[in-house]
Amino acid sequence: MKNNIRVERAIKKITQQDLAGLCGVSRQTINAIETERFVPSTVLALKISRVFGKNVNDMFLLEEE
Amino acid sequence: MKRKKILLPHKFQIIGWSMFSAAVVLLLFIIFRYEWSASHENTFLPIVDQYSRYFTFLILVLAYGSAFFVAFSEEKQEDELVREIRFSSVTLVAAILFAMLVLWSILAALSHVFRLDFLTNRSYIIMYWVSNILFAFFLYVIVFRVRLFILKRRSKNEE
Repeated sequence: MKNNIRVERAIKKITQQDLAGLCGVSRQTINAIETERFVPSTVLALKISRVFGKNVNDMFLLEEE
Repeated sequence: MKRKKILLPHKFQIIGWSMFSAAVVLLLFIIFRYEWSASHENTFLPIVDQYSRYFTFLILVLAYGSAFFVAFSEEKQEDELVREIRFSSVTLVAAILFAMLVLWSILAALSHVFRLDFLTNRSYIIMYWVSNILFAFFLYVIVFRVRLFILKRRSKNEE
């Protein structure tokens, strides 16, 4: 599953730590999601999308197999 | 959705690491203070006299206690990634132990058939350790802590 958190972060000018604080997770978790080493739960995906004011489908993209 | 908490609060991890440090210091003390006795091969730690017997007991209590607190207390930020690492570490340890048990059982059987006594005895000792619940517990603690360390180290400079 791809995501564009890094891009959205750059647009909004917030750090991984800021985003982690807003979502209630650690910076390592945000980093692991950005680098596609970890797929977040639905709840966390919704929280991240809410921070950027976007739809989940705009933030996370399901890859074709 | 509220999650049922089964782990100890984070402060127990600090207690656990303190106990671990104390165990290491005591172990170093006992190594330098007393001669390592070759005649006590079956003991987990060298037992030379009455004092070192107490120290040995204390080290074991500290080691088991620290491992328990470190393994079963929450991280500073116990989120879903840490939970995922916890679960997958249990799975990984189970897989490692099962694979080792199967492998050494085959080796023990083969060495028994071909009368390779030295290998049979060693295989049984390894099988004893692999099927020991304490060994599994310590292996879980090590696997979990190492994976967590790698994760933190990897993401340190990836801002």
